[in-house]
Amino acid sequence: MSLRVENLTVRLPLPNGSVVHAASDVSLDVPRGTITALVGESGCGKSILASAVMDQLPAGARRSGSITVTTPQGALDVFAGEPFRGLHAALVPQSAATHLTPVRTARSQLDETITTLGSPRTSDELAVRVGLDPSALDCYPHELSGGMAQRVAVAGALAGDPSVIVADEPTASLDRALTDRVLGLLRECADDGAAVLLITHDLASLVRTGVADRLAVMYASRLMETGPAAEVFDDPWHDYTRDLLGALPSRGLHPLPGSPPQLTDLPDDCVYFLRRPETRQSGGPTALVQVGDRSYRTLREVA
Amino acid sequence: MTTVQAGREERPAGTGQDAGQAGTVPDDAPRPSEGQAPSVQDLRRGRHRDIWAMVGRRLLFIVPVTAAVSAGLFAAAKYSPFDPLVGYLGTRYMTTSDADKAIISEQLGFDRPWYSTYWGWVQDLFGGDLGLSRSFNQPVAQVIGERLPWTLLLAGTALALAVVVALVLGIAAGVRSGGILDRGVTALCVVVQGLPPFVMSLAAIAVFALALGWLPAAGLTDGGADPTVGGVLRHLVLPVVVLAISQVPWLLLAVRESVVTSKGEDFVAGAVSRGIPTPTITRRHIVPTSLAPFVNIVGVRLPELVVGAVLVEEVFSWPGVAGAIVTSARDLDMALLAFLTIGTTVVVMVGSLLADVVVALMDPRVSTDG
Repeated sequence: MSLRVENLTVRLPLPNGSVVHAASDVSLDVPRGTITALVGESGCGKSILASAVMDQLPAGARRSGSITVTTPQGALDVFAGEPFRGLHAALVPQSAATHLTPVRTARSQLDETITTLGSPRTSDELAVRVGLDPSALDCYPHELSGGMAQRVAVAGALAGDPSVIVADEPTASLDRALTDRVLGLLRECADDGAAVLLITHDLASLVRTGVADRLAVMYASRLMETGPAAEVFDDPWHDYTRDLLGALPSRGLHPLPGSPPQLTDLPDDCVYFLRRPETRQSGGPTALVQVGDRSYRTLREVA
Repeated sequence: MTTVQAGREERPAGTGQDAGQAGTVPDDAPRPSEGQAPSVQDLRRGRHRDIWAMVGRRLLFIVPVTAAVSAGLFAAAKYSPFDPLVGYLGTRYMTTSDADKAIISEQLGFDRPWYSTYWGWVQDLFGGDLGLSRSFNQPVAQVIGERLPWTLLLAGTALALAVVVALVLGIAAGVRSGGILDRGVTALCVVVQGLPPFVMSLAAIAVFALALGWLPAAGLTDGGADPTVGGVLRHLVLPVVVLAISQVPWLLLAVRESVVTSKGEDFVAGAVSRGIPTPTITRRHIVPTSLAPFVNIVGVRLPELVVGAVLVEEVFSWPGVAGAIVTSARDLDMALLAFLTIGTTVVVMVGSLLADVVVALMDPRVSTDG
């Protein structure tokens, strides 16, 4: 009942010959019963990780490394071609309404999911579980508000009682009250035993709600820092994490210098020094250093 | 402030700006408006009312359009290079004296201004008299009564065949776009689109009627024989197939296009991530979403079918109304021509209305504002 990403590298060749570095040597563990938040600015490659876990990378993507979902029945390689979606790993997409077919009601699509997965649940039961009036399921997707659509999406993800739930920016278009509700729903899923990977750029909500158990910080396709969320928030070890947290309104609103790098044709190592030249953790060969249950990226010791 | 914003966010999209009560709306209420929360049943009932309103509006709109089209037709006929006397007298035209021509012209009303002819026709029409067809020497009602069923048989069968072929091949090509079937079918469509229906008709006659002798070249029956079901069916094959083939390309390319578009949409990725198998995604997600734009195209391009039917009926000497359009236009047989023109106008408008109703029923997002 956990998710393990090991040395995942994803490259997306573009028609013009350049290559997008979507993920570079990413290793991440999401144990059961916990929420791991993967944070970073927009365009750093976070969402590609969601696609990779669901084995829904764009056509033509090159990848190496592995993603394993541990289920009560055993370990499952998501790239092996066995059906696992919905049943062992489920996705809560970013724009929930557009991830539903527009000409069919939410109920019809939820019922279809339940039947396909052979789940004992009913759509009404799932609706109640996500705090939705069952009559709202008879709406077409365009008749649902952002918050309702997001809860339908969570209901769809819960239909097969998956071991792993990947939520890709589930609160991107929601206001604070709804964000807290959706995050609360994910917390309940984790408390019920799922391993939840929460992909978000909304650090403020994470700090406010304390919903995440662990934090993984991504910059330009690489992990910069991982660790227990509370500890990382209190005492970030990587300069990028510190910059990211410092940009929060609650921490002084210090804007990050420059803008996030394009992921096309990146060099083969961490590029944070290009944005923050004074950093002493980037600008040469780097590696993730593990200290207890935390890790951070820094320049490799030259022996 | 926060509660009001939360309320607004909870409101379904597209309900516009809220009233002050938004914060009190239960956040699961579907599509509340003006502080009230209509049920899903109300939503559906409202939708049906909107569709009926659209039908009423569009039917009313047909009246001024047909009036304008018929008036325009009579005016255009007056200034057309064809002389109705030539059509009326036929070979006798050369042997009739100018004085006699003037008398005949006056008797038949050829020298009256067009609005006077038009007004007479309108009065007769509302009196229940469709007039006399000079080209066929029959009352217009009889011409239509005898010929319309054959046109409906030909055009209906051809359209049904074209729609089925376009749907099956278009969906297959769209689902595996870029594949061998897709490339073959698309290339063929482009070629067929470039062939005028009369060229195709003549080629079909040359190959299947004359060279191979499999099927009759023209007409409804073998010369002089009474129409039998088998005989009519044999005569129906070539014109139906030619008419269907001439309509298939734009239908098929439209289906393919909307399937390809749907395929790349988020909802397909969404269905995949929920574990729905590919055949089900094609059948229950991609096809239902693609059908509405397809029906739309069928509605919009009904005139193509009419034009195709005219040409095919002409070439195959099919005794339908479409062929009669050509005859009546050449002879300036106004009674018949006016009826056929208005009939075509009404068929096209009602057809496109029907298509819009089907689209509105299939796709709940489609607006019924007209």
